[in-house]
Amino acid sequence: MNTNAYRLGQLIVLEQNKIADAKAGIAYVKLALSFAFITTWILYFIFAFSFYVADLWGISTWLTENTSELVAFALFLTMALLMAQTLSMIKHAFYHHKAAFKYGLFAVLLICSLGVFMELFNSSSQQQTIAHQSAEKSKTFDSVANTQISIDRGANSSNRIAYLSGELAKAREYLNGCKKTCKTYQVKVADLTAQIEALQAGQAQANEIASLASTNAIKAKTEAMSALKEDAHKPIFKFIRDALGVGISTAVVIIACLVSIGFEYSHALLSRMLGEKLSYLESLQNGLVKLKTDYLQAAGTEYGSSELIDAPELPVSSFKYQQAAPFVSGFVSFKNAPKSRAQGSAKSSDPLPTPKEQQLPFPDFGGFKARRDTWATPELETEATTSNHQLGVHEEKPQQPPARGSMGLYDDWVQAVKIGECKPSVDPTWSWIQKRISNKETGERTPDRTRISAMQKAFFSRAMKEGLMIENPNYRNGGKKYLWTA
Amino acid sequence: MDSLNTQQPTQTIYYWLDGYWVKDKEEAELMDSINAFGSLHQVVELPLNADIDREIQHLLKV
Repeated sequence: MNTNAYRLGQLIVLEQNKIADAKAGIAYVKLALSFAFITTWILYFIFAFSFYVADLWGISTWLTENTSELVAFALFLTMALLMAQTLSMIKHAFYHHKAAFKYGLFAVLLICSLGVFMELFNSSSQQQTIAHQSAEKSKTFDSVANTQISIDRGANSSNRIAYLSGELAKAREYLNGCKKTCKTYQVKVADLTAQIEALQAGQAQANEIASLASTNAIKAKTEAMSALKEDAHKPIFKFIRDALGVGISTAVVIIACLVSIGFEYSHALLSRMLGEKLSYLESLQNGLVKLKTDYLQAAGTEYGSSELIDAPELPVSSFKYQQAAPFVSGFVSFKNAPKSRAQGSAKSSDPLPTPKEQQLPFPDFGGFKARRDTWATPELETEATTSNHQLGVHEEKPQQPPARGSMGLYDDWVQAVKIGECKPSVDPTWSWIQKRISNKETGERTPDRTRISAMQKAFFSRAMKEGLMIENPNYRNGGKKYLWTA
Repeated sequence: MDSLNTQQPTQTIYYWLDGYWVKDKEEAELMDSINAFGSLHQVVELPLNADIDREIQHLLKV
């Protein structure tokens, strides 16, 4: 019966430790969710603002130019704020709700898709802005943009045509009044007409060529500028463009989509992690209730530790078994040890504790001293404390089955390492111990660094003996000297 | 009969309720001073060749 109570007591302590770990894990996930909420809010706000108001880049210029439109601006800004707040709250609430109440894939996809789209909108626009700004700042782009396109229209024949037209008019006039030289003027008119037509045809062709050259030059300049802008994009975008044979915009969208999906998946994953951790905590708490019930049946009294479900961590200065009177009372004969030794009566063999017995203040733990005095020092212990209890093997034994009294500072340290509060290294452990004993020890001991180092070494020694940590076989200067294996 | 009373060389072991033990008295007292292991240590004399873990467990179970 007592052994069973002891076992249950130990299991309860372990269960409480697991609960503390689980709660720490849940708190961490909730913190991550809070950061995700803030990120989502900013993301949604940028989307709504850019979509309904103006691009955030150059917003100061935009505001200067639109100060007269205060009503519209105020309304759209309010809508952007409310939209960001509402949608991010819905998303946050949904992920918290999903953690507790499982949801179908469709609802998760809907929420995720909304986030992906808005992120896609923002990030792709942002990448374009970055690339264009980068390109426009480059000297090459500046050089291309300032190139003047001059078109050589070739030889100008209009003066010659005008001259020949005058000659042609004269020749026609002579031809009209001729009597003997008509033949000559007929030839001249025909010749001048042919020359004028040839010149006009040549001029038209030259104009056409010049126009084509002009168009090509402008097109080349534009393409050069576009190429420079495209070249200013990040290498990853150009890699996707070249690998998939798509335009740079498509490449940007593909990458932005992957990043957005990654964020949304991580966000949704947090929700799942929270749900699993909550379920785990619930199962642990149910287990704790069962263990306490079993303990009640085994020991006949409630496990009255101060380590309640909602407050598994005790103050460091508390000695837990001292507060857990019912736990002590589980070791009945233990409690009765002094009486049995003094009186030699048979009462010491009473198997079960009675309510009356539970009210006994502090029993003699069959030789083990309860730490009822806060920070008793070895100097205060009489020699009898140890020498009176010296035992020869199998000669004089503790009269009662001792139980694990409580978790001490060492167990607190192990827990602190497990939950990440303290690193299993020399300096962090030294500081951890120092903080916990500094308010208990006064006088000359407080600054005794050697003494605290001895405590740290003793902790490490026990942890290694219990297999919680090992010396790093690959230790080098600057590396970890010890490895936590628990 | 005298041969039966031959004293074996012993060692002093300092142990706690949770079964942990050390051989160093100063370490045991230091650990007690900060309530490292939840109880004050006990002392037992054991033969040098004794299985300390087993003996301590035996003492704690009895």
